Amino acid sequence: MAEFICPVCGKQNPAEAEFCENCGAELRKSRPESLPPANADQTAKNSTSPETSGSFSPYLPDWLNELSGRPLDEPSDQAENAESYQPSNFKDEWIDQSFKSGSEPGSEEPIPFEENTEDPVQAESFGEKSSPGDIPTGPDTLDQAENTAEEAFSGNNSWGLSAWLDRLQNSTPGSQTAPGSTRKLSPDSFENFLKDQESSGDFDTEKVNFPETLLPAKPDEDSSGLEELPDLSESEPQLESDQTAFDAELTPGQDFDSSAPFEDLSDRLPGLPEGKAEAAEEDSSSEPVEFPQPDVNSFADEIPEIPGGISIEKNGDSQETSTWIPELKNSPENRISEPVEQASSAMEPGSNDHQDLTPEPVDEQTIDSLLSMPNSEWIESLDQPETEENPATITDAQAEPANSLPQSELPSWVMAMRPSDILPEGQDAEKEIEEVGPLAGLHNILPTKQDKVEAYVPKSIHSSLSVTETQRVQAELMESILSNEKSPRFRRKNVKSSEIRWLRWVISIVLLSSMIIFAIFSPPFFQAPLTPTGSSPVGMTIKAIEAIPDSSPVLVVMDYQPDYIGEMESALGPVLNQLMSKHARLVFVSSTPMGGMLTEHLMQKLAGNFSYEAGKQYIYLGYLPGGSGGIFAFAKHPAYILGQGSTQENLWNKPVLKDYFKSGSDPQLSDFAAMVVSTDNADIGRTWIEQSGQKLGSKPMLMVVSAQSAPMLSPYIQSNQISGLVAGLEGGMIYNQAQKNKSTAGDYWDPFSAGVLATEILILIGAIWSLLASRRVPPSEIGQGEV
Amino acid sequence: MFSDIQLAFITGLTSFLFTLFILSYLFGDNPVFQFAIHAFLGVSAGYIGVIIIQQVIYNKLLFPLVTGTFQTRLILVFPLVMSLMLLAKTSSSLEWLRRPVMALMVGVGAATIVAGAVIGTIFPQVLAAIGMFGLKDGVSNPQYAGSLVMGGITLLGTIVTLGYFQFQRGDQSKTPGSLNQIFGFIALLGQIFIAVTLGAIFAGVLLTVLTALSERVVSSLSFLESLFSFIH
Repeated sequence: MAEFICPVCGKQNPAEAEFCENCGAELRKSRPESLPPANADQTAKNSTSPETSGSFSPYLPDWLNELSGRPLDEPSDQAENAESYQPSNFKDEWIDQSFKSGSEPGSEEPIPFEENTEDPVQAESFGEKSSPGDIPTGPDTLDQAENTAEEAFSGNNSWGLSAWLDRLQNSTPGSQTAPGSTRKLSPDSFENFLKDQESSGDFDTEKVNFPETLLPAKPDEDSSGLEELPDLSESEPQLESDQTAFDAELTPGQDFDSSAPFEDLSDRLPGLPEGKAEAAEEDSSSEPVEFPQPDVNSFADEIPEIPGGISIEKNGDSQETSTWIPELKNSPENRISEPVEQASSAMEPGSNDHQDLTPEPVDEQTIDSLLSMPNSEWIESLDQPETEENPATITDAQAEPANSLPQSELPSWVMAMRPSDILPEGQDAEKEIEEVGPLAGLHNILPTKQDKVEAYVPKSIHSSLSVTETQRVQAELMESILSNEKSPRFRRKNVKSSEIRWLRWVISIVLLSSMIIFAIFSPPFFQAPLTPTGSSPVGMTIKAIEAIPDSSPVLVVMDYQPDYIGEMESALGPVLNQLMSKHARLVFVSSTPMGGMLTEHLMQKLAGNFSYEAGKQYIYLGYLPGGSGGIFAFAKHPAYILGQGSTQENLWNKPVLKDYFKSGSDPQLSDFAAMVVSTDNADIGRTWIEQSGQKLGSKPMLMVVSAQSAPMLSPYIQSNQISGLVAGLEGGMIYNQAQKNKSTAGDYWDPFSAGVLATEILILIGAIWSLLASRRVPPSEIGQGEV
Repeated sequence: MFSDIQLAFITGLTSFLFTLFILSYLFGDNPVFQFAIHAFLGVSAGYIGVIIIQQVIYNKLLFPLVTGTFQTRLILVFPLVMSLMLLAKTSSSLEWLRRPVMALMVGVGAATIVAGAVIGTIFPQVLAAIGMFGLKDGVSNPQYAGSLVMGGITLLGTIVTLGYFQFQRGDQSKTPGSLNQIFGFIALLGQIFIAVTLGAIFAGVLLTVLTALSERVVSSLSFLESLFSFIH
């Protein structure tokens, strides 16, 4: 026994059962064998045709292909369609739930246009395009035309959509489908249907409730259902023209009032051939037919919310649908189904209304895209006069009674999308309406107006710089520097030469007079310095010389300038007297060219006292060139550096030296018993100490220096680098006092002392003068002078 | 040719005249002063030239180069060539020839001075400054107290003198005021020590000058006395 499985509950039912024994769901629609053979053939013919069914697959959106359950470009046949209609092939459970919730036994009533809803494809195709409701039972031809057209349009695999549409249609009172009825799609059948309706009088326009969007728009109040839709005519002129032509052929001589839809269609088909358009308009306006307005909102509201699946738009248009439908209709493969589409268009005054019921994914993104859809163009089309191209249509539309059709209620979000000028009555347009720009006519789009703009006082920009304290100080400093550069520079006032000359004369007279007086008269005013102690530099010198063996060679360095000859001879004379008293062999060297002359000048004064002769008791080895390098070389190899006389004789072979330095030997600096360095320059004395001190070994190095060099060489006594120091006239005078010898130092002592005293007095007077002068001159004038 | 008396008179008279010529600067720059200056410079330069030619060029270069052995000659070629290179300074186109010789001289002289200063001055002076505190002899030295005081003064003088030359000064706003006062006090002490040192040097120079002036005064008076004695 054949059984049929309920698509709702899955229970097995007898094959002839019309309702499920378990859940009471209607089984006849779901039964594949309920499809009449003729209609099945026709459907198979249409579906197997690549131009009708399968060829739409590439143009269908993904969601529709997914619903169809077939891969793209797969040819469809009737068997597949029949199987795809099986509930077991339902992919979305929500559809099943919708069946369950809406398919109650006894609630289904046959509807006029769904007599042959055994053909699920046709039924669901019709459901997409037409609205269920109080559609009076009409001829089969009309159903056939409708269903075939919808089938051709949506393909034959829109089973998912047909299910809920079937449910919607079945829920409509009087929508009981006649079992076994067939549907034959042809223009003639539709024409016959119209004629039959007219003749039988059953075609009551009041009873035919088409969706509001399918009916001609009322120009005065409610035309938004059509005008909100995007203008598809521009993108599909050929399709629309063909559709209009088919409508023209379909409706001549009938009372089918399709003026408003055709009028709207003609308005939106600028590229339509003139003849066909006029024919369509004439046909549509000849006898207006009023279809009952179905309650779109009611049945749409009953549709359960489809999570991410299919959506039904009542008055809005789906952006996604609007994009793929033109492609679908413009495809050459769709040419063969054009009559079917024309038929369906004839049944649908609002040619785009079928898209309103087109299932599409509903999610937030879709709604957002819908809300953000650029609608300026079609909004602008609202302002354009519609009657320019088709005045006849306008006349017919205006001839329609304003309240012939009940108004539908638009969803709130659609109402929010509507321009303010087409808001329904009773609904106050908000105050803030965009007046210009692409969003003109919309409200609450942009934050508006001055009342919401915070008024503030613009911050004034001052021309003056705002600087920190540091920057200000630096700027002032720079300014002062620049001002000083600009101002004339003063220099110290030159002191008159007469004043210097006067002062010069005073100092000279004081000094010379004091010296001359004390030199001439030699009053016993200034006493000689005290005898030096053993720890004093002069005492150490005396001790060092006393320690030298008699007749020992002593190296004497004569490195002072002739201008210091008086001081140096006064200091060096007593030292040489002591050395000569010990019969020391004096060997003179000099790092200055004047050394030889100075040596001869000194020895002429001293040699007479001790019978010293040049070459016998003393000798001058010569000038030592090279500065510090020459001194270093001499300290290292004295005989190699010096010792060559003017007659090319070897001075080291002189009698004064040959007794101490054997011929051919390399005499060393340490071979001398002592070394006496006489210099007026502290640097020269330090050079001798540095370069020859270590070569001298333990032998004493004595220094006879001028008074000006003594402070700089005194530390070398503390470091024991030198064994004694005789500085200046005072040192020579002390040395004489210790040796009890009379020398030139005593001759200079009184005038020297007088000169020192006079100098001290002058310095004191000068200091007092300067102090008084500084008090007389205001501080402001100090440092300023003539320009 | 001249007797000793005549020679002494001529020398004394020349000395006296040139002394007067130099003292004529009291009236400002005058021809007599200029004559004395040029005379001294000329005589000094001539004398120095003669000395150098005789004792350096001839005795140490030319004569050994002619009469010396081959080894001596070979060695003396180098100083001869370098001396000729130094003479290239007179020509602008050959001036570059003297640069290597000058570089050698300056390099050798600098090395000698630095080495001598380190060995002969710095180290011994540092050791002497340390020794002033009597660390070697200790309390047993009878002069320990005096040496310690001298060492302390020397150390203090060294520190404050170096502190005076601390010219690096930071931001006045960031440096504490007390620190500035300390550095100021150290600098003041350094100024005192430096002033004492410069005063001592100036006093020595003054003594040297006064000694020279005294010598000139005594010499001039001796000449005049001799002159008057000769006249009478």
